[in-house]
Amino acid sequence: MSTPILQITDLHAKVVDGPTILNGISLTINAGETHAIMGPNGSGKSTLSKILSGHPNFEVISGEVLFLGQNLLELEADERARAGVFLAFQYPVEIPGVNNADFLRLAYNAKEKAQGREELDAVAFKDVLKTKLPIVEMAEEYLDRAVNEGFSGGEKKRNEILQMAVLEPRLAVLDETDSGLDIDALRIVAGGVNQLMNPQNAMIVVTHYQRLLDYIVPDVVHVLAHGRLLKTGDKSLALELEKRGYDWLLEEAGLAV
Amino acid sequence: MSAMCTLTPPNLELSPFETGIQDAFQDLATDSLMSLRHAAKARFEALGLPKPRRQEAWKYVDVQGLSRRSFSLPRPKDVDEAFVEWIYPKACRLSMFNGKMYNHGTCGMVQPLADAVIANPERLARLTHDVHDADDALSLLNVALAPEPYSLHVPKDQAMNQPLEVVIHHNKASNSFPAFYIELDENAEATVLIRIKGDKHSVGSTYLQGLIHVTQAKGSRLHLTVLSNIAYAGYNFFNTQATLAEDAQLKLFSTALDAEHFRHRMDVTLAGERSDATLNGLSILSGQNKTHMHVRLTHAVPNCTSSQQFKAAVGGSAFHEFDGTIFVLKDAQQTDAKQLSRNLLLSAKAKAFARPWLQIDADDVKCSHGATVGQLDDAQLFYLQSRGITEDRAKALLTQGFCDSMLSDTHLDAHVKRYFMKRVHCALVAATI
Repeated sequence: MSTPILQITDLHAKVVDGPTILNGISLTINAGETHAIMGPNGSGKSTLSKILSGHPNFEVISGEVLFLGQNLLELEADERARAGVFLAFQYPVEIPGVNNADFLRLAYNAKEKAQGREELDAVAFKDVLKTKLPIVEMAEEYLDRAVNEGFSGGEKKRNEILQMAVLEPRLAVLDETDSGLDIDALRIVAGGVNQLMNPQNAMIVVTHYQRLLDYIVPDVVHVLAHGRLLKTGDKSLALELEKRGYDWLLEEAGLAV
Repeated sequence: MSAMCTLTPPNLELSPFETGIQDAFQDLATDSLMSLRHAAKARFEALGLPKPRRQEAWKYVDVQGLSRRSFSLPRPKDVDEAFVEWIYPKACRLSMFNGKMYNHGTCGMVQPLADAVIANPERLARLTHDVHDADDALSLLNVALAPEPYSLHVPKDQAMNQPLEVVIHHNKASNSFPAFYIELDENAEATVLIRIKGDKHSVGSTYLQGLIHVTQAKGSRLHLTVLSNIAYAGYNFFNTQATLAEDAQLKLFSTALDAEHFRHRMDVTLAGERSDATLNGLSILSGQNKTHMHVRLTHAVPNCTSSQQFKAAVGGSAFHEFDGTIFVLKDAQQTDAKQLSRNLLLSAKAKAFARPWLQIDADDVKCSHGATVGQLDDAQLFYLQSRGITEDRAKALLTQGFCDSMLSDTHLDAHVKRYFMKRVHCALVAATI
């Protein structure tokens, strides 16, 4: 039997001082699996990503989230990252004045230290980085720039996947990583992600479009609407959604307007 | 409680500070700069000490505290060579120790102003003329009382082959009036670094009133950096007055790191077409520090460009003020002027005031100004935390980034940048405690 990486049980969550967004979500993701989460705008997809990464603007009302058997919800965002959870941001943040290579090393060393391994100096880390850059076809010059500052949409997303490559998470959550990407950038980013998948880790791909799933092929597809999982299927479900849209599912669930 | 509101008769008794100034004025130096000194004295007497309640430019400056301290001119004392640490491996070197200036090398372009004007009486006449229009009273104290103003004069088509580096140092309470008169002839180039060095073993408070007077002829270029890095009690006020002829370029960078009372008033006039001024400032404040960056930038003729960016990271219960005015005169069409003040508050008691002003009398110009006062950006903080970096570390990194980006945006050379980086880091550690 394969190891469960993430187990979500009846998760209800809301915006801090705001409306409830998730109304009871349950799912289990095992090692080696890629799960896609699709759904119309405002369904709660991004909220789920943010809840998993510990974003302070959201709060869990009830339910349980176990990551490698450990209660994820009691950890701070930085502790979750060091434990092996990674969120690829839909809108990566620009950080002027903070050098990209220094930032990557700081993040890498924080994790290495937490896992009882030796931290690397700038020179040794550069060697690590050089092995990671080809994964996202990124030039070395991006390392000497400030984090994401002045990067194009595609460069920002590649920088996200570079961080993923450096941190080697057990669970990666890709929040609409395909948004704002042209076909070439999409191919590079998806290709990078595929290289990073292995039998020990797992991935959640949040997306609006089936297009990304041509490149990153999911084992399981979930449809999220109104804060609930309406349907779960295999990759053919994504193709069906592409053809038929979401209305038929909403109608089936009695949620159609 | 309302001392401010009660009607008390004006206090006719002079403060010890004012009495000290009067005494010093009785005894002005009788060098070749006498006419200049007397003109400054007369103008100061006409203006009087700054009045924060009535004069906008002094509204937030602690003039009261300054006027309570005694005013005495320093007694010359020999320089202690051991204290001096130079940033540039090779430079024209000047130092001022407890108020007395020393020339450490042989640099032909640098000499006492009193000597320089003997061969160039026209220059003296020009400087004296400028004094009649001066509106910043304290700068006139410098002009009248500076024991030994220095001149840097770069002749036509020449570039200094090394920078001018000045270190100002005090280890006891005194007044000091460092003064530098920079004159760049046509197409001349120079780099000047003026550094005020603190001494944690010093006692008492210093009053420093510095003056940098810049005249740039056609096509000349000046890099001017002022660094105030002070770890002791004192008032450190600087005035920079620059006039640029056509195609001249000025890059000015002013930095106040952990300075108790700091004010830098920068008056820049773009008087020749296509001249260009870039003014940048970085202040890092902790404890009860008070710093003021005051800019008066005048576009007097068409087709000039100017850019200002001032940043402050304010910790403790410190106070930072940016007050900058861009004047675009009637003839100054096609002006392109930018101004930005960004302030980062690091503690609940820290304060920052940004006061950007524009006064535009021409109708075909491009002017922009912006000001922000705020805390660290939550989105940036979360982004770093989501990569495993602890909250404290992330905050320190963002604060450092806020300041470092100022250093990388400005065209400092590698020696100065390296020196800055280290001190910026130290000042930030103090500011975030």
